[in-house]
Amino acid sequence: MLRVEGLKKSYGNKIAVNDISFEVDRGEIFALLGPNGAGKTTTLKCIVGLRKKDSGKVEIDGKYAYLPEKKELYRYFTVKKMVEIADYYTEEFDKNKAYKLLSDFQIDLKEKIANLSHGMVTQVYLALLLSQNADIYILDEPTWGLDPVMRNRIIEKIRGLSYEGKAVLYTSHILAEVEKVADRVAIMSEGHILEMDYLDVIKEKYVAVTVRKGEKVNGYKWKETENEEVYIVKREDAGSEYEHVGFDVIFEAIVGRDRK
Amino acid sequence: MIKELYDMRVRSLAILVICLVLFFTLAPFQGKLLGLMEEYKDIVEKYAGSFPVEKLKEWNFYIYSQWFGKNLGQIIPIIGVLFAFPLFSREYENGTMEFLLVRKSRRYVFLSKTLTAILVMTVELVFFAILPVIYSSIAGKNFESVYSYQYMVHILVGGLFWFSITLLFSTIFEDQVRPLLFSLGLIAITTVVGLIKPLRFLNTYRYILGSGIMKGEGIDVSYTVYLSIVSLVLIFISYLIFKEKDI
Repeated sequence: MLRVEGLKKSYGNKIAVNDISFEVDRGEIFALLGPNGAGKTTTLKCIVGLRKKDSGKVEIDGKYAYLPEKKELYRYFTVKKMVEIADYYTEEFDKNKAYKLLSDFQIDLKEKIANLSHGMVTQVYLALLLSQNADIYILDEPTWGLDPVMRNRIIEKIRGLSYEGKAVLYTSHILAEVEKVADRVAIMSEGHILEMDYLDVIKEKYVAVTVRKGEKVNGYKWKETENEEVYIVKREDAGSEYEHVGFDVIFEAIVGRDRK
Repeated sequence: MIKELYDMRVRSLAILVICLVLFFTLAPFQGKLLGLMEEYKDIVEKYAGSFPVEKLKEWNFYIYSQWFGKNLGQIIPIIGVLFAFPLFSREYENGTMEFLLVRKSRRYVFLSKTLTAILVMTVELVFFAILPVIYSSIAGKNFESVYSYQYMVHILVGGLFWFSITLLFSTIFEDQVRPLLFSLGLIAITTVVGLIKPLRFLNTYRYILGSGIMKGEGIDVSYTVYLSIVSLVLIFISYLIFKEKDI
């Protein structure tokens, strides 16, 4: 459905995305994870053509729908007018579905966008996006700023898209949410993909080992005490004494520590 | 296009109202003005210089010199700037350009914005150009309208020129203030620099105010072609910038 190969993007001397490749299949939810400045948003923007890539290939098989990181709509329009505008600009847009979703989200159609809270604007944007019939949904922080109840509802809807055979590529800072919804993840840092696999495989792949300070270990240093250091290493490199760890620990170790 | 029309409704209405106010503070008061001039004859003669004050008694000269040659003519560049400055920069500044560009091609977005604004500006400028014709026929004034159409060409081309310069700034800058300031600054600079004889061609006011038209010289064809070509080139460059711009 989506194939990215050798994607590179720089801003002056700073390399934002450095030769990354991945694929997203039909019915799959693929999450791009990483700290701020990892290159996630730039990657998504290069895929949809908002930013011009320096090199690499992006192939999208079908139509896409995109939710930007900054959910900005026309502040001087009412919600109803915004739906009409979206209907005018968007191919295969279901206006009735948008009204239904907005009603579910309890958003008043007569309200001006300017009068809505950040979370409500995000809900309006999501309603517009989910009313668009696309083959792949590219979502940049879709639940950012939403309350936990609404976040769960959106997660359900994203999951629903994959049941309909749609592909989803999305980014999020909320690891618990990623664990709930993603099939595969790619962990990015400083423009590189450091790890990419099925979530369950990653969780199985890495364990924690505790070693004496200064001992060389092939893995990611997670934390240290006065005399010891804890590394997240691949299970086959761990020897006989190791501990299972959660995905959040693996993520933190991979993006947060220098590789030793 | 619907959104673009909606976007520019306030600006186009404001320009329409301002120009109508300007016209109706001018056209119906020819007699009043002449009375005042008679009353302050000495002062008028002192400051009028080579301006043929006596000719203001003629309706044709009065309306052409005061409407096209003064009130409307002077704000034509500003009208061009006002129509163009927020076209792209407002969408960048508000972060809404992403909404458009993931739904329509850059070419579509550029053309719909630019052509809609040019269309609305053209309709308004044509209306302002024929306003003296309409008014004269209603007020029963004897009006030679042929010059109106020559002035129309000058104000349309002059307006388009300043529109296209501002459009370029609007595609480059990601806030609304800079396109506005740069364009207004450029109007001031070209007008001042255009006072130097070898650089007279830079002063677009000389063309927009159409001093040659009333002398019976007709449309300044070479300057019309020159400004039109520069405008089209600027619009094309704006498109190339917009096409490659990182959003």
